[in-house]
Amino acid sequence: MVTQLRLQFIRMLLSWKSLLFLFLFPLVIIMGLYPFLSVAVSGSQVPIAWVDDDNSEFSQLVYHRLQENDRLHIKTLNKEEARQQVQTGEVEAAFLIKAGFEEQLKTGETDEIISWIRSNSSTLDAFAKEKIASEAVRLLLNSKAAQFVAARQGNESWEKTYKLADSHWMPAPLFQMEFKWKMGVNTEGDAALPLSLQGVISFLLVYVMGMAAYFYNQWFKDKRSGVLERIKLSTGHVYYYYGAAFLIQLVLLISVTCFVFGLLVRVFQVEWGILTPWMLQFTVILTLVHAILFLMVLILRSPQVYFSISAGIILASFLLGGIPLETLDGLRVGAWLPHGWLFNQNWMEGFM
Amino acid sequence: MIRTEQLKKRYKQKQILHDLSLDIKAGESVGITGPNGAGKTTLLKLLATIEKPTCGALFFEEKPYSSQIKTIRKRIGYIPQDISLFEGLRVKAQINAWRKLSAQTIDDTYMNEMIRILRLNEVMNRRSDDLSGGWKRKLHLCIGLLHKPEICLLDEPTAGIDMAAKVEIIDWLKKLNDAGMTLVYISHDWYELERLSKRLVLMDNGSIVFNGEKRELKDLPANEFSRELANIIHAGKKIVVHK
Repeated sequence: MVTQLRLQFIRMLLSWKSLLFLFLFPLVIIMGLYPFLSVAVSGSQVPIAWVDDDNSEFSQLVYHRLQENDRLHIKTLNKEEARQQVQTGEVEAAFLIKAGFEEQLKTGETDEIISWIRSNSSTLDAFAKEKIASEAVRLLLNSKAAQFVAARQGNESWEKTYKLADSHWMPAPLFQMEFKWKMGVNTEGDAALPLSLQGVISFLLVYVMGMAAYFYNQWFKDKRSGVLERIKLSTGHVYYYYGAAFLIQLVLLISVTCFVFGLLVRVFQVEWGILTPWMLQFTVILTLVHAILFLMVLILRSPQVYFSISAGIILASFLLGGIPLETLDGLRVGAWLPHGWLFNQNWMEGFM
Repeated sequence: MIRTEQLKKRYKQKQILHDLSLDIKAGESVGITGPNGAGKTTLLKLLATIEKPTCGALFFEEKPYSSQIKTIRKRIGYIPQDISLFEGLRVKAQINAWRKLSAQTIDDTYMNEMIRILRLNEVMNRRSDDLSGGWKRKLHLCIGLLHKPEICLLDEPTAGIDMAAKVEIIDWLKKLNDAGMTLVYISHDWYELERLSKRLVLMDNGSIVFNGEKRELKDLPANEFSRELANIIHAGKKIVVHK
């Protein structure tokens, strides 16, 4: 088996032109799309619903500070309106400030003070979540500082200490806090990857699937040239040959996956935490497709038939995502590419 | 050494071999010839354990093939017509790879001697894809015989190569046969048939139509096959076909 693995590895390296293309193409695509996608992601305003059940000084303060942000479009709604607009996609998500928000922050409590309502199509709301969280933490820490001083110097020093603490905050605090997810409106985890990037990932998935199919051409060459027969006669069987070829190719595909996601992290400054579930999905789909292709190579004799069926499978996975024509108008391509079909977030919740 | 009895082979609806019986003795050199589609390659594949017969029996040293496949594979060297080498590897790497892949123990002295006689040293560092047809064929033969088989089954061993390389390969095969190796080979080349063996097997339409010494060929009945045979084994070589 070791000899077969070494041999298959060397043979893979010998087809260096195909390997180079395999890795260069995603690089070109990602680097080429970067200027467009970064503008698309940063240039749009994210519509957010604001439901204030506390109506306190603190909740108003957070609201005004959010309004100052160019990337957020805040709509003040009641609970029901917010829920409806999230469902219809008019707003990316809704943040419900519960009654007692200010009181809880002043006492240092953050549990269940904000509800985050979102749907399956919510993707860009993570930015708003971070912004709100940072403002809440800012208020919380200022209050704690003021309380600490007031406990020693009297209640009259609370206001002064609070203002002093607040003045030390940088304009764009980066703190995060845990949100309580509001269940019931197609809620999901915080896989907040811009749709444009989802589209890029899906496109690259189709590309890597195609390349996986292409690399199996070598097996047909071996069949045709009699190499396989010769291996069978020399070694007594072809199991190790197939096993080694399968493993080497799988490692190659996983390497490409890591490379693609590494590029996305590097170029688009996306956090690994957000990309990890996508990377897992990518790898699972690729492994499945790889296994199907492997079985086909074992069964089929004609490379023409093999490539036709492979193209069919790749195309089917593309189409089965469901191409709703109305979604071709913008960046929502991600929804109708393979991951949209095979892996929705609900599925992932069950999987993970 | 090898015996076939009433061998039949069918692919889907097509009968390739009909009741084929053949006896090959140890140390013999048997040339098989006949028109395309006669079933020569299928017969060789059956002898090499690559294919299984639909009907009939194969014996190796009077024991059925099915009971000793592994032993037979160790003792047989099969050289297909198509050159089967790993793409992209250099000659040295190619020989090494096949040497390591082989389940049999390779005798390095024998291997080096074979490399020397075939003059493969001269192209050791060249990529096998870049070699001429003759060199490729020599490498192909060398790899097929790495494990020093007792019986060598060759499917057109000199097809598509120039005369000089052809003579070199035929002389080498002759030496192997003289040293005791049993040769069973397919050829359409009269020079090869003439030089390598006395015994000839003529096949047509899945059956043996002649099995004997070449000098007995003149006794062949005059028919379409005989005329075709005369064309196959190059005109002017004193093949007598009665009219």
